[in-house]
Amino acid sequence: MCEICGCGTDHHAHHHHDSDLITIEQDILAENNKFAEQNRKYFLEKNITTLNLMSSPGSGKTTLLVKTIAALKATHDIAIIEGDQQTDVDAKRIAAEQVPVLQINTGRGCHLDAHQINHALSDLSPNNNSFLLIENVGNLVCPALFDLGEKDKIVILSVTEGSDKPLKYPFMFAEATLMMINKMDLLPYVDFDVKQCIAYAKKINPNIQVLQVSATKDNGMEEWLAWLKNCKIVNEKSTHTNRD
Amino acid sequence: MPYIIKSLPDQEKVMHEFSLAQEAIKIIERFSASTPFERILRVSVEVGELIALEKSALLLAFGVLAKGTKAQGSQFHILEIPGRGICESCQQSFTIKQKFQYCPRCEDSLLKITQGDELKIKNIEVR
Repeated sequence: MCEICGCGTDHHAHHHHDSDLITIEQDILAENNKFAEQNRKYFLEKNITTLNLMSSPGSGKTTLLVKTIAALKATHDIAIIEGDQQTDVDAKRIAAEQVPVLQINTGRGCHLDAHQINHALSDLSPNNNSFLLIENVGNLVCPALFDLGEKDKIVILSVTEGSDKPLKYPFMFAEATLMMINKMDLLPYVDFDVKQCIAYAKKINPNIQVLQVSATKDNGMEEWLAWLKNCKIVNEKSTHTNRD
Repeated sequence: MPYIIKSLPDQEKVMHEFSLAQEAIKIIERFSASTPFERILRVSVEVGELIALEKSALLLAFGVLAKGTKAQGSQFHILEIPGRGICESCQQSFTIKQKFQYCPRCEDSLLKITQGDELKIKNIEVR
């Protein structure tokens, strides 16, 4: 993948002198965004529908993934990238479902970035026309800053968290196309106001779509799978090489 | 099914302020490679007030990561850019402290950010 990402090669840059002051005027995230655009191009060429799943730790992302794989793998190619600070626990759970999975351990790092995904793609080489689901590091802050080249960002929130999370961590909700409220089966036991949560999310992002699911109890999974399949169809119809 | 596991090299295992400081140093080093100067005295960075970033963490990260580069010992100067947003309904512009603010006049109109989400290296002072 190094010919794609240009790792180790010299990058061209413009500059000019102003006595001993050198003007740079360069966005710090430009490097990440460049890799993200390369990834996006790769996904488009291979018609891979890539989704970036983000949430706080413990929202049930991995369980949701396992159930999603079980429901889709007979009819669709799926590959998974797992991001965690430590351990291969999640990769093992996914690998048990017999789909290709790559685990990135970020150590102290609190998010995945586009360069990591760029390299992961060469190791994982997902099939053409497949789904690539990326489970980001459990964190509602940092992952929102880093575009990975995905088609859509999905934020997952469980009813055991506060319904005011969209207001407390607005960046994540502003970036997401879809908010999934998980663990709906626990609603009778917790103080979580679903309506309020959706209202808060729409306040930050009026276009956000919402699904209510319980991955462990298989509630709402049909709607979620339909959303996924529709996302893929839209991806296939897409002829754009650039995102808006 | 077997699976692949990847641990990042140590210098990449960092919090996002560290990642961003690292990106900043990469940009500076690229300029250093093509420009003859001895060392960097000062790096000026524009940071918008509305982005999710801890300034003290960014400063700390830069100090640590600059070691062994031409930026070692340089002053890392953060130019704070105040937040501003405009209401697309009434066209009024407001100073804001947070990213997602509604127009105080029209109430249901989310302000569009016009300033305050910058994160960029402005210039470097060299000798």
